[in-house]
Amino acid sequence: MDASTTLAHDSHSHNPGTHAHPHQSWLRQYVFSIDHKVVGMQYLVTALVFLLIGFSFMLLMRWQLAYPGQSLNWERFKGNISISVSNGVGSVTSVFTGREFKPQPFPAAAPYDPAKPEPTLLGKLFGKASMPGGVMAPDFYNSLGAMHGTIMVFLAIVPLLTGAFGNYVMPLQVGAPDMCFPKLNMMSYWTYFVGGVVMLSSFFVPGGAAKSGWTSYPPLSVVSDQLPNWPSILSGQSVWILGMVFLITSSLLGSVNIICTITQLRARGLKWMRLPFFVWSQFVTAFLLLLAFPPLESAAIMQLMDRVAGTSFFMPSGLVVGGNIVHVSGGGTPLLWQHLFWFLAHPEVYVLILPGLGIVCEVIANNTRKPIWGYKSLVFATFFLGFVSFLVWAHHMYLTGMGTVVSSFFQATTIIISVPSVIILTALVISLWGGSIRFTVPMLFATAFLPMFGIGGLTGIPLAFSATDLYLHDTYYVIGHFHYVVAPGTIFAIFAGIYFWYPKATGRMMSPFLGKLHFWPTFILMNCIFMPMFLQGMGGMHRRWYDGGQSWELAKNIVHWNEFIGVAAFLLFLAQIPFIINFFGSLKWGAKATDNPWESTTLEWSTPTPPGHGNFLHEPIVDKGPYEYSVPGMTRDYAMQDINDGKTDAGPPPHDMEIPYTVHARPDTGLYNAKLGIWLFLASEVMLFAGVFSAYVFLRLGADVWPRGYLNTWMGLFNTTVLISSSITMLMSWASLKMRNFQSSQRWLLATILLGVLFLGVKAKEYSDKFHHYGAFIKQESYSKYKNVLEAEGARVTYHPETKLYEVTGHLEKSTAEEIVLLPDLKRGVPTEAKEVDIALADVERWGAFYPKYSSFFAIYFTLTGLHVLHLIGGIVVLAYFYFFGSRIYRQNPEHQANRLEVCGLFWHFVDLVWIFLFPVLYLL
Amino acid sequence: MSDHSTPNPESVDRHAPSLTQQEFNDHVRNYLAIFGSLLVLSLVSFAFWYFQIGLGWQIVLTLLVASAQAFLNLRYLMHLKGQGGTIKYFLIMTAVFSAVLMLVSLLAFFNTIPGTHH
Repeated sequence: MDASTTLAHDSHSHNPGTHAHPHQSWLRQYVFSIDHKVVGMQYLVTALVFLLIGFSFMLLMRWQLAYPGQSLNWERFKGNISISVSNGVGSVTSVFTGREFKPQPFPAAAPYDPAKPEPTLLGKLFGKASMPGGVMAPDFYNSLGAMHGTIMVFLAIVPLLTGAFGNYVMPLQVGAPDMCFPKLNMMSYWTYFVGGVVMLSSFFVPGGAAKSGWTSYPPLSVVSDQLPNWPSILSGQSVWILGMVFLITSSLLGSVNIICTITQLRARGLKWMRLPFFVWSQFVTAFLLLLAFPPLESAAIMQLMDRVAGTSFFMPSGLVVGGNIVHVSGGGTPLLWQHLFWFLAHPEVYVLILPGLGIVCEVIANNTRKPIWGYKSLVFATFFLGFVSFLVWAHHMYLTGMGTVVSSFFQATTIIISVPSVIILTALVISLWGGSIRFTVPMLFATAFLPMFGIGGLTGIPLAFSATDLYLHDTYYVIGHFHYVVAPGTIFAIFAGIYFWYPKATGRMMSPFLGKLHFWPTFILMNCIFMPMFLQGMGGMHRRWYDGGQSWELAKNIVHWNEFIGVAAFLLFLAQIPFIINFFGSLKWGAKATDNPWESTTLEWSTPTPPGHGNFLHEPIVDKGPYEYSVPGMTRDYAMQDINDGKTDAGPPPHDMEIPYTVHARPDTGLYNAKLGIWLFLASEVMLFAGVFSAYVFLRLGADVWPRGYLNTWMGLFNTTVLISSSITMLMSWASLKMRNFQSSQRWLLATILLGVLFLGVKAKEYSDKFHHYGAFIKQESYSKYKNVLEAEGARVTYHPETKLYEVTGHLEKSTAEEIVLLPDLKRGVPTEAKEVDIALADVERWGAFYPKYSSFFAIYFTLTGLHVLHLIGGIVVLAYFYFFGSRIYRQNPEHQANRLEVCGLFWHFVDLVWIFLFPVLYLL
Repeated sequence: MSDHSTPNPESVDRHAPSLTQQEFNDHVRNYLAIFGSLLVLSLVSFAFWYFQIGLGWQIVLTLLVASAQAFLNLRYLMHLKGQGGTIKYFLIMTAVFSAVLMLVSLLAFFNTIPGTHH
């Protein structure tokens, strides 16, 4: 029987219109909305579109892998599909057609005439260079691979889990009227949206989208897409980095909001151990995003510096590309990127899993009609999982020549992290035992999730050990493992969540028939796609082969699976059509949903359907746990968390629909919302600077000589004094406002701003000095010509043993095509006047001003201080805003204005704190 | 500053001071003391550089001084003193993870299979 009819019970009809946000334009209500539910729906629809785009990219890739070199146009489909192989490795037989693959030269496409109009839609869309004659070019294949991973992870799955479900469901489950910071929430969505648009736009810049994989490993990612006559900042890889910066920013805003909402806006009586498991999963996930993303942001900034400013954070000395030495200062290390990337990307795996587990937990509890088994174990396991996920990242790097000490550490932590994963999965499986299971569509997806996630998890164990990982690394085994976790794993959880909460969000039930028509083919085809990948991977098939392994002898017995997988992938695409019809069609034709159609217990089902602005018609008060199903002695098999038992029109109305604790502290946390928010933001800032400081340590340890004395220490000391002073004036401004002395507060605020500006002025002078200071690297064999005169003067000369170069620095007096004239810097304590030295350019390996690209030292100096300066400018702008416009808020609510100053002050002190480390690290050591 | 000094909006005139004069004076005295301490510690770091005490010692001592400055900044200027557990737990966790990021990657830098790294 139809779940929607069997499960529907007491209907509290409400007119959502009466509960809607009053007096708002359509634009404010549906586009630039600050209502968490609208933002959640925006995330949902946008991320589903990206999911489809990312999936389509995969289909194109699978075409190329199944039928390499074949033109992808409609003509092809009219005739028989045939396989071309690149060179003779023996014959392979198609599993479908029985046709024997004949070796032939690669590529096997028809002769391509660039003068002819592009015959295929894809060629027209992505340009002739991408699909010449309908045949996928290798570069385009690489772009699709990189963008498939990027889009699926950062633009589809994570936004669906945290942006859509996190936004829509979590505030309802904690009984909040909205997210803690609604405007920040809106900003988070639009930053994500812009990031997505930027990412996709990279397909249309010359050279196409990024080609270095979703991991963007340097040095490939630094040297790729560098086109003549096209600015590097607008090339595909750089645009990828810019897009990532937007997406990371969006994630950070979202995670601050999620943590604050759960901590500050929980309903009365909703103690921590009464939270639904989905809320816990969002809480831990938000922490992972908050602390793991910033190091990647710092890495992205450094990679952008490498690409655009010519620095060498990730570029080693003497790198040869295409037979030529790359002319960069060198001294960097590609492994630094890998550390910073995987420091995010492994916790990111749990970001992809935990909310999915949360959704599945809700669905299982509801559809087994019994409490989740081991609720506390689940919660603590999730916390432990989140914590340890920060300690396992380098198991992705066993192949980099890692020593036994470090690899043992990461092998141990990787095995340890499997313990909480198994606890969670076991708890969910045991929860099925003895339940009165209802196989609704959400439950089908949720139960299917369990074995799929189990297969994904168990196949990860061999990858935890370096001995087996060395063989399996970069093979299709890894692809199969990862996708079992995320595709039939997390995506099934997402589908379960959509089918489960769709009635609450729309007021309509989705069709169970179409749901089952969606589920079964999807379930079967997912396995058809990913299971053969284990076979291919164990057979040694590499994950990045453009021809799918046709040209490799070792792959000849497994390459035929490419066609099987390709067909299954195409059918999987068709299997999503019932879902699309169901999703949109049910809005109009779906059966009307009651307030609690699944007879569920948690707070979101105590709202009207769909919930209006402010969510609850009465203040939700919680007096029990989240999964009170089949409690003995009750008249029905569930008890709702809300004390009013889900009667949405019962109880006293809430005090107002405003968000609480915006000015005064919540008693149990002792914090008002913004104060918690700024501390969380600062925590992410700590991780951002930790990423760059890690780079400093790597560069310094990797350098053959680390320069000292290039910076003006007196100037640095002066700036330290200025910044410390500004911290005090900032505090005085806040304290004066607490005394309600507005004029005094304004004066101190002005002093803070002026001190900030003074700091920037001094910094500008320092930068200018550096840009007018030069250095030349004299070749070892030529140095004898200059040795006597330089030594006689007491000039400061630095020998670089790794590159065998002598470095002389000083002021540039003159430069011609043949020589430069330097007024050299003298050694510290040398009392004489410097004399000019003529240096022939023929004797010089490279020379230039102290720009970031000059050396590793200046790369890190400008990056660290530049980031610091950007923070300072941001602080000044906000303080200036308060200086000029703060009086209005002060008149309305002086304590609110004092809070705002306190929050800004915390940021300002943090900027000071960073400088306290920058000054000694850069100027003194 | 302390949140306990925040008045209840229902019971107190919102334009009335939310610090007593005594609290204000205590704050100012504290701030000036911290200001002086931070300046002195900066000068100490500077002196290590100026008198060239040797790079090894200089690195250790300068970083210790910077850590002391950071402690003063966090405890007094950023008001962690008297702050409840929520913030402190978050910050301790952040400190642990940032230390792990830097130290473990540093360990990986040194612990390599011979011949695989430059």
